[in-house]
Amino acid sequence: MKLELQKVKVKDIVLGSETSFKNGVLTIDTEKISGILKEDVNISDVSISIAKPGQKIRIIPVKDVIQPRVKVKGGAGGFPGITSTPNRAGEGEVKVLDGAAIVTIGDIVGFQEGIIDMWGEGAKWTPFSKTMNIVVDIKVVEGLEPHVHEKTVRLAGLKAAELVGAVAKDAPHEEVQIYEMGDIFTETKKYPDLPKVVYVEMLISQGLLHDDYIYGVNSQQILPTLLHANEELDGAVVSGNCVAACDKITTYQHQNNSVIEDLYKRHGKDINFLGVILSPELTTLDGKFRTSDFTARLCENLGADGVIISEEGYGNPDSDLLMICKKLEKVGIKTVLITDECAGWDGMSQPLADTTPEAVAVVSTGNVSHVVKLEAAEQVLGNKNSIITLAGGWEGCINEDGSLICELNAIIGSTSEIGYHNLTIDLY
Amino acid sequence: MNNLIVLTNNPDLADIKLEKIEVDGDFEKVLLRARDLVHQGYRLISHPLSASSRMFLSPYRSLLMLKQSLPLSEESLALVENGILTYRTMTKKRKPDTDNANDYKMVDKNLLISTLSENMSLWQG
Repeated sequence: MKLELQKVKVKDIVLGSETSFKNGVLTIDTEKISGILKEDVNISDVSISIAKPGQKIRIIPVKDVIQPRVKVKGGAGGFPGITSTPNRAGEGEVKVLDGAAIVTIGDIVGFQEGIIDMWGEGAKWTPFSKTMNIVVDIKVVEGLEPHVHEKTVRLAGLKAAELVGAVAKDAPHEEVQIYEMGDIFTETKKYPDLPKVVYVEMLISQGLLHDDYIYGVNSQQILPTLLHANEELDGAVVSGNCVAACDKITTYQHQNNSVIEDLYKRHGKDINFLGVILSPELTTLDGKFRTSDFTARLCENLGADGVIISEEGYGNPDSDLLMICKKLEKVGIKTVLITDECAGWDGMSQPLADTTPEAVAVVSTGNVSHVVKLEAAEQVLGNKNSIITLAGGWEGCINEDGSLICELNAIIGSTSEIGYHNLTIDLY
Repeated sequence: MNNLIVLTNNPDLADIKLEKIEVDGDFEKVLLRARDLVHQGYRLISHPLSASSRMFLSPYRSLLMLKQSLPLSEESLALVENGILTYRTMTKKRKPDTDNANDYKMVDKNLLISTLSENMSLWQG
């Protein structure tokens, strides 16, 4: 399968009378795009703003972030099973508006959180302070049932990404990234002596505001599933996760999954990257036993020598992570885990909600409890009241000058468990 | 299953037709009661913790358990003890978010229904 991402560099975004792209400048016709989104009878109002790196703008609460793209050759494009007919993602040629992002906001519940600060201290902790953000605020009609509300906002965000992405169709691109890999047997014949590595990506799959979608299917309804790495990079996986700002995998991060990117770079050099197993994080213990057994069995059947496992969320998914680790290590398959931790304000508490002695190779993507001080913004896009909610409700969390103290768990992508964030580690 | 129970402090579960053990107290009290029940031989069906750091601030928590009088399940005990430890670490400096209590009740209920749907044999009406 071959996927070619053609990067169209976005140098600026402005508002104008026609959505277009010329000489590096993306122009957004907010009225036209709002009108199209409001064709969904569940949407009562849409407002669109632009937030650029360095501006003292705070975006809150963020629902999802999506990269605008358009497939120009080799398939229906879009998000198969959701915005386009079910079809195989992962091949063809795709134009990517590189440097731009659609950010959807709008509370489904009052406690929803997720900050993107475009400047200052807050900007250091989110990868989306570096993108030029088209912020789409979606209001729905009264009385909408919560599942329908979430779906409405989710679909509107994906639609906005397609409408904006479409202008890249004939735009010149400056960079091309090619992802090309045959089936497992072909690749193993080519690289018989390289260790076979599988990437297990865990997905939050627990219900309202805690969902993910694979080709449009709610991941709570699936058994662990093997995908070609290209499929996730090409829109097969969409986020419905709204409640864990620091470590939710946004749709943008699925489209640019760092673990997949890094494994691809090493494929054929020092590893044979077999593919991606998407493993749902269920709520019941029996569900966790079932999915961890199935995931381990799939890895065994593929002949994996090593498995990298990333988590989504915090709390009960820690048990899934460690179950999969234990079951693989017991059959001689080496594991590396990628997870964030909740180690308290001083970083000294037990980092995960569960433990197992087999977990000896663990990469931490950060402490969700780490406290940061954020300056007051000049402009807030979204719900100002959310700032009080996320700040934590303790004495002194909001200061008279409008600055606030919050934990990293409130900042979008701060402790991304697929490594798509700004944090790094020291090697000793 | 006629020995499935909901352990909860959520007052909005009247239409969930399962036996309930109601806890008068907060999220942590529900976890502590779960631990007590595990010591009495009950088994956890759902994991004691939620899946996102935000939900730790929910004033409400509903868990599914199996009512039985079997020897102590060490697995259930380890999970609930670690759950209590994790909850206390996450909320050391944070108070439950009572301003959004109604939304948390609603989400807690929806997550409970999703949990039941994971295995329809649990839900026999």
